[in-house]
This record gives sequence, C-alpha cells and structure tokens, in this order.
Amino acid sequence: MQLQGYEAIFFYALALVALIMGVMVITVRSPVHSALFLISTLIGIAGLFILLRAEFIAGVQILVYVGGVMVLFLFVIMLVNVQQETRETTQIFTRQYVAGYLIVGLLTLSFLYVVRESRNTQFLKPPQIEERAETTATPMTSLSKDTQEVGDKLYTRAALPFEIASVLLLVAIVGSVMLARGRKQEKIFE
Amino acid sequence: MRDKIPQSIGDAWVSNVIWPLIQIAIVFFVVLTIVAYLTLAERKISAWIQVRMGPMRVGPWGLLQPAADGLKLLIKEDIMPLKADRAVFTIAPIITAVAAIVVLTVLPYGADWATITNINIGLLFILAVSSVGVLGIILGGWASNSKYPLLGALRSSAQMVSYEVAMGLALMGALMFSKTLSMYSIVEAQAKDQMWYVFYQPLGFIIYFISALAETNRAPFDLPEAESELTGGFHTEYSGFRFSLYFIGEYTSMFVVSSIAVTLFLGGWHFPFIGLLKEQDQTLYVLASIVVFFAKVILLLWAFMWFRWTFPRYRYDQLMDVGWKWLIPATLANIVITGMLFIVGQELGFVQTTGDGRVEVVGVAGNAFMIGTAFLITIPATAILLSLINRRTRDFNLRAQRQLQLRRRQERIAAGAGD
Amino acid sequence: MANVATLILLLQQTAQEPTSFWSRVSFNPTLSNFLTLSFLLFIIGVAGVLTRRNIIIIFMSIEMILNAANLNLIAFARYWQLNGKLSEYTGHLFTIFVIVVAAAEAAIGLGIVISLYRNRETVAIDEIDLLKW
Repeated sequence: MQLQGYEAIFFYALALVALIMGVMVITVRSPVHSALFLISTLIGIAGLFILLRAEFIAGVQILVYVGGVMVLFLFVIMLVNVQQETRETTQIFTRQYVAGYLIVGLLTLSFLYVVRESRNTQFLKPPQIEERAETTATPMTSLSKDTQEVGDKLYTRAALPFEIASVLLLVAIVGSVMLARGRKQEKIFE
Repeated sequence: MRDKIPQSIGDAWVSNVIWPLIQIAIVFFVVLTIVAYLTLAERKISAWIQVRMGPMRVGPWGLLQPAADGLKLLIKEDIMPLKADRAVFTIAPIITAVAAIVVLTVLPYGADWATITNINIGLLFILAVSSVGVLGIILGGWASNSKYPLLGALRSSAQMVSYEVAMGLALMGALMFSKTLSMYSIVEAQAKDQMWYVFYQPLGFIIYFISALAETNRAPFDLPEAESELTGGFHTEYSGFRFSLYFIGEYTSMFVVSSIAVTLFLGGWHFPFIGLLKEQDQTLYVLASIVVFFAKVILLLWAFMWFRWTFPRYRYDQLMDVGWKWLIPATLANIVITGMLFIVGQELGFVQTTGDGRVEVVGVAGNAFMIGTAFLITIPATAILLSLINRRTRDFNLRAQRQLQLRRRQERIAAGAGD
Repeated sequence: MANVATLILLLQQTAQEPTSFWSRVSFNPTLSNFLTLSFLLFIIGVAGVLTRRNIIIIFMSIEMILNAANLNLIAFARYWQLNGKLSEYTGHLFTIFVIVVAAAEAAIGLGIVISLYRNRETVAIDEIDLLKW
C-alpha cells in the first residue's frame, strides 16, 4: 500500500499537524489550551482516516470524540476551574518526570528493535490474488460504499459486541449521573 | 462537469481545483448575502407580526439596512476583558462561524453541477461539523472570564448537545427510505420515488424542525441568549466584528439546518414537473432547480422567524425536559415503527428492495399504505408512549398532580389532627 | 535489562548493514509510516500520562493513546483491503468499539474527577495522597 502524489503530501502534512498538536497537549500550562490542542489532534487523525478511505470512522470520530467527549472535557475543566494553575509559579509536571521520559525512551527502543526484526523475517505474506482491490486513486464518479459495508458488518458479524456496547453505554450513563450528583441532591430524592 | 473523469493534468486542475473554487466563491457570497438579509428579514417579519413597519429608513423600504448594520459593527471598538484569555477569546467566534460555513460545501443546491462536492458521508459530515460549532460557544463563554457569559455558554451548549441527539435520530427515519448518506443521492432518491419524504415521515419532520430550532438557539428555545435573562449570554463581552461573527455563525447554521430539512424531507431541488425541463434545456433545468431549492429554504426560514414571535419562551428545565424526555423517545419510536412498517409492507407486497439495494414503495397502494400508516399509526403510538413516559413530569398532567397534592395535604392535616 | 540488551543488539545491527540508508529510502508513505505515526502518538500519550500533574490532562493523554490505537487498526484494515481481501472491515468495527469504550470511560472518569474535586478541592494527583505511608 503506497500512497502516491497528493495523498503523500496530505499524509505528511496531517502527520506533522497531529504530532505537533500532540506534543502541545502535554506541554501547555492551561487545561483549556490543552483541550483545544487535543481537538486539533483528533481532527488531524480524522483527516488521516479519510486518507485511508475510512470516511465513516472519520465522521464518527469528529461527531463522537470532538463533538461529545471533548465538549464533556471542556465542561469539566470549567467546573473544576483551578485558576491557580495558570499562574507561573505552580508546577505542571510531577516530580517523577525524568522517570516518565526514560520509560518513553525505552519504549522507543523496543519499537525500533521490533521494526528492525520485522524487516528480516517474513511474517504474513499477503495472499497472491490476481485481481487487486481499487488502487489508491479512486475515480471521481463512484461514491465509495464504506458506510454501507461497515453498517452491514456491524449488524451481522459484530452484533453481539454491538449489544454489549449499548449495555456498556447504559452503565456509563447511570454511573456518571450517580457520581456527579452530589450529597445535597441525593437528600432531595430520598 | 462534476461527473467527468479528468483526462489530463490540465483537465484535472480545472475540474478539481478551479471550478470548485469558483463554485465556493459563488456559494460563499450568495449565502453571506442571504445571511445579511436574514437579519433584515427577522426585523421586518417581527415588525409585521407586531403590526408595525420595521426598519424603513436606510434604503427603499429599509433594504440597505444590513449594509448599515455591517458597517456599524465593523467600525465599533474592539473590547477585550482584562483577564480574558486572549487566544481563546479570539478563536471562539471563528470556530462557530467556520463550522457553520464549512457545511455549505456539501449541500445540494441544484441538479448536476450545482453542488460543490458530493461526498458519500455528506449527512454525517454535516452533523459532525455542527457538533464542532458547539465548541465555539463554550470557549466564548469561558474566555470572557465573567459569570454571566460562562453560565450562558454552559446552558447554551448543554441545550445544543441535547438537541443534536434528537436531530440526528429524527433524520434516521428519512434515511431509512433513501439508504444513503450522500446529500445529492438523497434528493435523487426522492426524485426516483416521486415522493417527498415528509409524507412518509411527518413525525420525523416535525421533530427535526423543533430540534433545529433548539439547535440554533432560536425561537422558543432561546433562553441562553435572551437579553432579559442572562444579559446576553455567551456573547455579552463581545463587540464589533467578533460579535458579528457569532451572528454570522448563527444565521448560517439556520440556513444550513433549513437546507438539511429541505433536502431530506421536502425533496431538495426536485419539484413535480421539473423533469420536463430536463429534456429541453440542461442549463435551464439546473437553474430552475436552484431556484426551487432556495425557495423552499426561504419558506422554512420564514417559518423560523414566524415561530419566534408566536410561542413564549421555554424555561431552561422545560427545555431540557422536552429534549430528553419528549423528543428522543419520539424519534426512537419513529425509527422502530418505521422499521416494522417496512417488514409488514414487504409481507403485504407494498415494499420491495430494488437491484441496487434501495427500498421502493410499489405503486399507489404502497404509497397510500406508507403515508396512511405514518399518519395513523406512528403519530398516535408515539403520543401514547410519550404520555406514558411523562405522566409524572411536573408540567404535564397538571390536574392529576394538583389532586395528588391536595390529597396529601389532607392526609397530613388528618395525621396532624389525630395526634 | 531486556531493553539494554535490545539497545546493544540495535547498535550491532546498525554496524552491519550492507546497503546505505539513503539508497533504500522512499518518500512515499506505506504502511510502516502509518504505524510509526501511530507509535509516536502513543508515546506522546504515555509521556502525558506519566509526567503531568493535572488529572484532566492525564485523561486527555489517555484519549490520545486510544486514538493512536485506532489509527493503527484502520491502517491495517486498509492494507488488507489493498492486498487481497476486498471487504476487510474488521479494523473499522474494532475502531468503532474503541471509540464507544473511550466515550464511556471518559464520562465515568470525569464523573470521578468531579467527585474528587468536591471532596479534596484539588485536581493535582500529587496532593491526593491520603493512603500514602
């Protein structure tokens, strides 16, 4: 799978955006700025999904992650508005930050080792099938069938995980209402 | 032009870059002009409802009023609160305005070449970008570093997020008939079926319209931005062009939700006998379709203005009640009942799936079946369900609650007297 | 210890390569590029979880970790689609479930953060140390 031409340029641009915004997420002082950078990262990743022809997942990512989860994060940041943190004197990194970066470095080494090893061994040879799927440049006229296929498979192959996911969401709703309710409101309901 | 496969690099440049840029420029200026005149239309329509004349001074019948308003907002002083977060304060209205304007690229304004682009997840893209617009409101309220804007922003965004769910689910009903998310193909599906989906899904259309009103903070749901309630809500501290960016965002998203309603329920650019024009003259056909689309959108926008001065404002808890306890169960019931009607229709032979997977309603009897059941089964069943769910709500069934209250009071008095 | 061993192995292999790096490089992104990007996002998330004091930023870094995993899954789904299996959507399905679980986890986690803030008046993890020796 090789991306050609404009898709390569888009890949590098979106990857750069995602990485830079990602680094800004963990280094800025104010949580609201951090949330905004995370939103940019998520939109960058949604762009990469579109590049990989997963349009439905890209739409779901923006709808659910950016429009739902990040809005929730922003609400909580505003309710837990710790103004003192944005002053210059408070610490934003824990005292163990050196250990944290060391662990990150070790993870990187492991990754490089795995990459090196995988070049030497043949894991899964892609099956030699004569007809290839469409190339990376789809003609303009056809609308891709991504959404229909994902929907099809979601309700046939993944029907059981789908039902379990809905129960999980119900549990999450009830749980979060209970957690955020507070003592005074509990007394009213009793 | 949209459908041709580019044969050479030059052709690819023209059909992929230059022609869409021209289309984008045209759509941008047309829609911004419509948005500007919507502000005038709002004042005029509200004036006519209140038996007065509205702005009459600036041009003939006040038609140049938007220009005067725009100029005034542009030359106003740009105030920023002292401890406001400068970057976020600047970005917030930009997010709202951009999120509303980006959606204009996927709307089907007319037939063949009158849409900027036709992506196969058009409707999902629109819903996703509308949810990004909520962020602009939250950030605007927070960045103003002041109590009233923060409260207004939290209320407003909670309302928008709640009604987004109802909006998306209400669209599901129409999507069950068109079986595609691409906006252009939805209009084509209605053209092929020779039936606007509002007749198949009247409940869906009503719920969608109510959710659209709440989504754009309009009409009876505008508590967060009502001047008498929260001194202006999230845009209190904004002045000058930033303020106008918020309102460009709001009116553009009014235009956008009306366009979605027109596309999904009212048949888009399709009109019963417009196909006859197609054989005669292609360009005239496309222009006629554009005119039809905009006429329908303007009709819905007029309804938006009309509702503002017809219904009293909802209190905030009533507003959230309506969103969660009334509209969402209604949409879910709508989807379930529509699905069941499909299966029943297939058994009875009224509905069949065509070769390319679309559902087609067969003939006049099939149409009568779908429309009849939509009005006679879906709406009453949903009404019964809603009244069952909401029986103990504070504002529903007021007489029963009052009698309960009186009975309890008598019991307390009897128990107190018996001691 | 194992990581020191891999470091030594890595250095040995670098010294033994037959062809130079620049003669083999190609700038067109392939699957490896997507996996590398996913890994980099992952370690940025891990760094955020391990080094920041504010609980909410730790949560955001966890969301980034989950997104890196999603990117990985979808890259592989596309790879399989292009290399034989025409309708390989397992990656997409798994991604949908990861998004669902992430949303549920964010909701409950933030509920816990609100409860914590109500009781302890702080969101810095350094100061929530009641069970410490």
